Amino acid sequence: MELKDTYYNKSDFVETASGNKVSRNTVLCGSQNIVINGKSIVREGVIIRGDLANVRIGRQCIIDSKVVIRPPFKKFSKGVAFFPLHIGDNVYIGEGSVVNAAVIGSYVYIGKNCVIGRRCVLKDCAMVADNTVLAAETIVPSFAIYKGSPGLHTEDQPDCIQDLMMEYTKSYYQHFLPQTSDPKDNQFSFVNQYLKSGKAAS
Amino acid sequence: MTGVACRFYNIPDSGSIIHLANLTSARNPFGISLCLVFLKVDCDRRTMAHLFQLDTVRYVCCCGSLKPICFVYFCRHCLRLRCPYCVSHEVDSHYCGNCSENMPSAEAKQKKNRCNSCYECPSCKQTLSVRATTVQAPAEDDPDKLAPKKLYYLTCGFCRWTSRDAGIEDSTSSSGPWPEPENPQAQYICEITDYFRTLATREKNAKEKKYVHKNKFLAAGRHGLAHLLPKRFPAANPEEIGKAIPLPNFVASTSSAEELDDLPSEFYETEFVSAKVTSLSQRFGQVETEPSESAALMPTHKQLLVKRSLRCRVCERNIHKPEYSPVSIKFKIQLNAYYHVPQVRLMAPLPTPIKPGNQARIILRLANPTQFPTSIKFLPFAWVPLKKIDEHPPVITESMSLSPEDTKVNLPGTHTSESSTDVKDATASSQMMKEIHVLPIRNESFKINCRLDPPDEEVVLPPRDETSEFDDFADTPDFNDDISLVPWRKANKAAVFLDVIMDKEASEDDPPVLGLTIEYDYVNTILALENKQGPQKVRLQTHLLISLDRSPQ
Repeated sequence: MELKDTYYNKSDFVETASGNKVSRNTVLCGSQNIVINGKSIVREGVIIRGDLANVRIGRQCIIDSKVVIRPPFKKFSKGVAFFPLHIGDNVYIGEGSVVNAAVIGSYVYIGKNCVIGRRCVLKDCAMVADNTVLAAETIVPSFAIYKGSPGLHTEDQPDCIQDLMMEYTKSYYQHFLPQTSDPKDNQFSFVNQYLKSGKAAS
Repeated sequence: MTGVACRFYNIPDSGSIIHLANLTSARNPFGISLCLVFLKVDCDRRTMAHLFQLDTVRYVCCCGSLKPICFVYFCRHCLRLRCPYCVSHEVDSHYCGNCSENMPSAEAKQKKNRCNSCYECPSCKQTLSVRATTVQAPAEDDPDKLAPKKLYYLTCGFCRWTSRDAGIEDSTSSSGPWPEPENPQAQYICEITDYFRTLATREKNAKEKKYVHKNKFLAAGRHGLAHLLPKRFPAANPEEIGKAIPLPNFVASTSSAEELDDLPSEFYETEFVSAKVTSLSQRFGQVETEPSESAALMPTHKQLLVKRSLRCRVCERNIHKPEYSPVSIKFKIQLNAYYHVPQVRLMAPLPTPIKPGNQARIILRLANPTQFPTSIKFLPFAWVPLKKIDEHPPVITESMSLSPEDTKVNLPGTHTSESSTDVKDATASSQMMKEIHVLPIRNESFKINCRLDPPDEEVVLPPRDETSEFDDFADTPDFNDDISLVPWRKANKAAVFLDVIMDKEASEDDPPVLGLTIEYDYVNTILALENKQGPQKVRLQTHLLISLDRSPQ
């Protein structure tokens, strides 16, 4: 099924030259340490703690609302050290999740309300289902789906997940539209018309 | 579990994990039985298909199972869809998901498919991490002085279990060694399993008839399933058969106890603390000792994962082969239907619920993933289940009017149409015959209560172009589409309006399900490679079931 259009208020979002759409209603601490590579969406209420360490986010990522991205720390005998957090391309992070991972590969899907513990590694094409809690230093292998609290490997992803995730994140970006946009510019306006036509008839 | 190979197979389709093991516990060391335990894990296959609700459109495999497109494969040699039931699964390599270390299959078997270096929490099954502490210990060179010394222990980040809880002393090296739980009866169990194994092979050899249908690839290679096949005994050698197998020298009482001892008084006197008693899953996680007290839980080695390749059961060619490296997400061979079969997706839910006898309009989104243009024709549902000739064809769908024109398919050589309704046709085709014998016939029950008002026009889809993915403003070639049929088009994708009628007889409570057959051009490049001819264009049919009542995401 095609994704539904999501409309945003143009004044609430900053659009960069590389196509990033970042909500003004976010807390980006240490913004000089945050790199977002382009065509990514950072939605309202997101907190990215760039003041702790570098945060690098790849292309065409979706950071849904109220997500907290916080570089992980490690305790040493002489205090703590923070490590940079890298997120690959075409990654989706669902609403309200807290991400403390060290590395998130490409084509990773993280569901809603997840807790990704300190220094976790999510390999390419991994998935963390909704409401999952991963303990610190968990490694999620490629093509694995982790589910539950505590998060366990319950099943595997389909083989074509790389292209599915690319399509999904791209489609999310295409359907994320400013409220003021002309309906004619929306290539999928016929779907909206179709849905409206039914409602009018009934 | 001692001296017995234990294997985990993760059957990709059902989401179930089969645990094939000789379950013997300390308390029941001689009750050896080969158990096949099906642990039904959450079977919700929607997990990833949820992205575009891909499971609203299910493809009918020739064996009769219904799967969303991302779980079916397309055999380029048979030109058929193959679901995970219709392919043989082979283990390519074993690796640990935690440390990404490959393990040779012989070693994996010896290590009971567990990683050498990674441990799991016996309490909650999360990976354990090593933590260091510094203690003051007498220095080696001068025992009078105290020197700082590093000690390591295992800890679980989720439930806070530590190896100290199990009474394991801290180790001086970060990699262990950590004590392994050991079955007190390990020696006996080993002897007995060996004895029964020889007995079983002998019995099997005696029973075995001359002909066994052998799949030569089943046993192929080091990673094949050869070890599961009975070892060929020198059955021709009568001396060997006649020789008695030496009995294991176990000591077990075979007489029943006349009287049972009284329950020890501690059961009555000491207070019961439920936190100190292990749960069932914790006990099963440590089959060697099956501890009942949580203090006896030991760290367990992490289960290995496998890279697996798939092979078509009919033509025995590889249809899926991942790269060797555990971290790689690339494939050497990838014939997932997503890359080879036109993808049909429901673009929007029905704006109003459809009622029996009524007509509704749906939007489908078509995509051509191949390198060649294709032309898609919509036909009424025309799938015919695989059937053995002496059986009556199972009635799955409601009676459908099939006109011969609709179901005619031009396939080269031995490929007959999937939709041939004539049993004689089926017998004529060697491929069909083989499919009947080789494939498991699953014929999942489904009910179709909507049918299509098929449009006369075909929808032409241009080939997939990688560059267009990156160009948002690329011009779409003009196909002079009828806007009432094709409202949208972009690169290799198009949307199509179709009219659907729900059967008058259908009940209002039944969810509306549309049956649909698409006929499309497929360019067979394999034939060109093998016969040195040009690529051959064929018309293929794929059968789909579309659930129309899904609410939007």
